[in-house]
Amino acid sequence: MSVIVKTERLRVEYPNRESRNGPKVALAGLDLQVNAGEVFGFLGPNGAGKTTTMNVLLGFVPPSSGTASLFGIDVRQPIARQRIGYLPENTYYYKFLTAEELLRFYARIFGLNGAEADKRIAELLKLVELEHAGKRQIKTYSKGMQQRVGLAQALINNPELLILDEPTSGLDPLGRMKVRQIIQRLKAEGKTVFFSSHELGEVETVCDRVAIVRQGELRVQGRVSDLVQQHNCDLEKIFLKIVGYEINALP
Amino acid sequence: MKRTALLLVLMLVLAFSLSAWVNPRVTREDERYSGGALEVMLGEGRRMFANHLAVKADVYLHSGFYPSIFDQAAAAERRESAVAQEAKPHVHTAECKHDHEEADEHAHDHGHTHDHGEESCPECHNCDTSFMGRPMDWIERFGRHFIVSEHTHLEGGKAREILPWLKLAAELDPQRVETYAVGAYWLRVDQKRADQAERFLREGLKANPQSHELYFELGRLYYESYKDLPRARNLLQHAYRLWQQNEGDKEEPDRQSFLGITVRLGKLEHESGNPEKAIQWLMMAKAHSPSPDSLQKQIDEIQSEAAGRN
Amino acid sequence: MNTIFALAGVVIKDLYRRKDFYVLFVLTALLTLLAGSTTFFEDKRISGYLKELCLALIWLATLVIALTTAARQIPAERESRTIFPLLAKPVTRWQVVVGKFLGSWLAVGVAVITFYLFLGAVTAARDHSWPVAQYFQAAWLHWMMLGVVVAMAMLGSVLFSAPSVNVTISFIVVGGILMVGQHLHKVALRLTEPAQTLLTLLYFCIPHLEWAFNYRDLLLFEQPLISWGVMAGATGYWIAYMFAFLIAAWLVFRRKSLSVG
Repeated sequence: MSVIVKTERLRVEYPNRESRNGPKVALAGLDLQVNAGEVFGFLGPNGAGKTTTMNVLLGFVPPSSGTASLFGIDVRQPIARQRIGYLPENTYYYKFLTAEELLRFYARIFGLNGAEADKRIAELLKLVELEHAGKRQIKTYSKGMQQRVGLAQALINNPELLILDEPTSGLDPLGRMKVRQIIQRLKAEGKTVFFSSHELGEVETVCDRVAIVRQGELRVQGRVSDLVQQHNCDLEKIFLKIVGYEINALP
Repeated sequence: MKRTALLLVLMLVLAFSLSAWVNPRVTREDERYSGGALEVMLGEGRRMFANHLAVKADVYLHSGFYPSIFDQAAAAERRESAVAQEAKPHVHTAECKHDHEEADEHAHDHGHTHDHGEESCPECHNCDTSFMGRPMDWIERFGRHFIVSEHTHLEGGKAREILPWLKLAAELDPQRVETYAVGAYWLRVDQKRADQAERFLREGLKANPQSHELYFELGRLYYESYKDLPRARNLLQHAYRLWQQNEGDKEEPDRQSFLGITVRLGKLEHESGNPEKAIQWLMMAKAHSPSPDSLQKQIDEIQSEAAGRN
Repeated sequence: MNTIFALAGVVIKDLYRRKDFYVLFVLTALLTLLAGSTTFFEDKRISGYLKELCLALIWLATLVIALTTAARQIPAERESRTIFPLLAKPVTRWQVVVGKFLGSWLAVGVAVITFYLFLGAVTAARDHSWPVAQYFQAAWLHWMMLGVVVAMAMLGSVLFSAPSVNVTISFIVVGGILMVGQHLHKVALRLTEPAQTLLTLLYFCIPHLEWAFNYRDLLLFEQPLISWGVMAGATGYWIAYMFAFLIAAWLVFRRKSLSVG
C-alpha cells in the first residue's frame, strides 16, 4: 500500500514574543502516515497541533525541523499540491465571483480549460447540488452553500488526496449528512481523505484509521476498529482518556 | 411628529432671521466686498493661489517653457558664481545680444513680466546660461525629452488660453491689479475683444477704485481700440491724478505707469491737435524717463511740425 | 503562465465589480464637464484649462486606482483568507505576486485607456482635432509609469499588513517622486556631506516616474511627438524597476509564514 501523507519527526516552533521562555512548540516531532485509499481522521483538542500539521502539509508554514511529504514529494514543492484538494474550516472564497467563475479560476490553475473545464464544473455543481445557483455571486450564498462550493473547489482537479479541515463545522444536520455522503462517495472512488474533526461520532462512522494528537505529539494512531477493541470503549471515550479527562468524572 | 417638524421649521426660520439681522451689523464696511465662496473657503490663502494661477498664465504664454523653483535656485547659484568670477565676461550678453532695457519694454508691451531673472530669459534658451543649464547626468539629459525645452509664445490668437487662469486669479484675489491689466491687454491686443477687456477692467475697478494702473489701461483701451479721444483723455488724466495721489510721495514711485500715462497723453494731445499740451506731457515724461533722448526727439518733431503749420 | 493569467483575471473582475473605478470616472467626467460648461470671456474655443483640469483629475484618479488596487491585493487575500485555498493549489508565491501585479496593472491600463479616451473626446469637442499619436504616447507612458507604482505597492503590501498604511506611504513616495524627484541632485548640491552623497544616491536609485508626469505639458502645449526610441528607453527603464520591486516583494513574501489557525 503506497504512502500518501508522511511526516517524520516534524517539529514546528513559533516565535513567542509574549514570553521569554523561548519559542512556542506547536509540533514536537510528529510521525504520521496516511496510506492510499483510506479515510484518515486527525483528532485532538484545540491547540493540539492539528491545524499546524495541515498548514505544514499545505506549505503555508515551513517546518522547523523534520520532514513532511505528499506522494513522496517534499511539501515545500508546489508540485506536491498538484494531486490534492483542500477544504478549509471556514469558507474563504472570492465573494464577488459566481460559483462557476470561482471553479473556472481554480480549474485554470490546474490547467483545465474550455470544454473540459465546463464539463468538470457542471459535474461538481451537480455533486454539491448547486447547479441552480452556479451563476450567482458567492456573497449571496448561505453558509451551507458556501461550504458546498468549497467542497466543489477542493475536487476541481479530481484529487487523489483530499485534506478537509473541520468539513462539517457550522453546518446544520442536513448539511453535515450531505458532506458525509460526499466523503463516503469519494472513499468508494478510492480517494484518500485526510480530515480533522471534533465530531467523533462522524469520525467513527466514516474513518478507516485515526490519529489523536495532544500538545504537538502523536498519542495514538491506528484503525478505528482496532482501537475500539483494544480500549474496550467507543472512540469518544478513547479520545477523552487520551486528552486527559477522567472517564469516571463523566455523567 | 407633526409638532416636532413644526418646531424644527420654526427653529430654522429663527436661526435664518437672526443671522440675517446679525451679519450686516458685525461685518466691517470695508469687508463688505467679498470674494464670495472662495474667500470663505480659502481665507487669505487665496492670494497664494491667485499668484500661482497668474504664474500659470505666464507658463501658458510660454507654452510650458518655464523654470521650476529648483531651476530658479540653480540659476541663481550659477549667477552668483558668475559674479564671483568677474574676470570672465558674461557669456549671456556676448552671445545672446539681448538688451535688457528692451526686454523691460517688451515685457511692458506684452502685459506680463518675467520674474525668473535673466538666466531664465526665454530668448536665451540656447545659450549656456538658459534656466536649465547643461544636464548634470544621464537621467536629467534623458528626462529633458519629456519637458518643453523650446521657448515659443502662443501665437495665432492662441494666447486666449492664458485668460481662464487670469480670470480665476482675479476671482481669488480681486485686489491683484496686475491680473486685470495683463488680462485686458491680451483681450484687447491679441484677441481683438475690447468689449471683454473693458468689462474685465471695470470688474477690477470695482474692487480697486483708486488704481491708477487700471485707469491707465482703460484709457489706453479707449485711445487705442475705440479711438475715442475725449473719453480716453478723461480716463488718462484721471489715471494721472490717481498716480500722483498713490505714488507722488513715494521715494521709489511706479515710474513705468507714469511714463505710460504721460507718453500716451502726449500722443493723444498731439493727435487732437494740441501740440502745446502734447509737449507738456512729453516733457513730464522725459523728466522721469531712463532714455530721455527718444522723447526729446518726439518733442522736437512736434515742435517743428507746429512751427511749420504756423 | 496559465496560473498567472488566471490570478490576473480575478483581480480585473474584482476591480470592475467594485464601485471605486466607476465613482472616480464619473467624478472626473462630471468635474470636467462642469468646468467645460463655464466660458471665460464668452470664448468657447478656450480649451487649455479644461485639458489641464481633466489631466490633473486623471492623474489623481489613476494613482488612487493603482495604489488602492495593488496595495490591498495580498493583505486582502490574507484578511479574507482566500490565500489559503489558493496556496493549497500548485501555485508558487512568485506566481501570486506576478499574477496580482499583472491583474492590477492591466486593470489600471483599462482605466487609463478609458480616461484618455474621455480626454480625447473633450479635446476633439473643443479643438476640433485629436492628435492621436500624442495621446497614445501620453497614455502609454502613463500606464508604464503606473506599472512601477503598482509593483511598488505590491512590495508595500507584503511589508505592511494594513493596506491603508501601504496606500498612504506609497502615495507620499509617488507624489514626492513626481514633484521633486527630478530636482534631488540640484538640491543635493546645496547640502553638506554626507547628506549630499545620500541625496545624490537617492536621486539615482528612485524610479523617475516624473517623465510621464512631465509629458502632460507636451500634450497641453501641442509640442511635437517625442522619438519612439526615447519611448522605448523609458519603457525599458520602468520595466526594469517593475521587476526589481516584484522580485523584492517575492523575496519578502516567500519567507512569510501563513497560518490558517
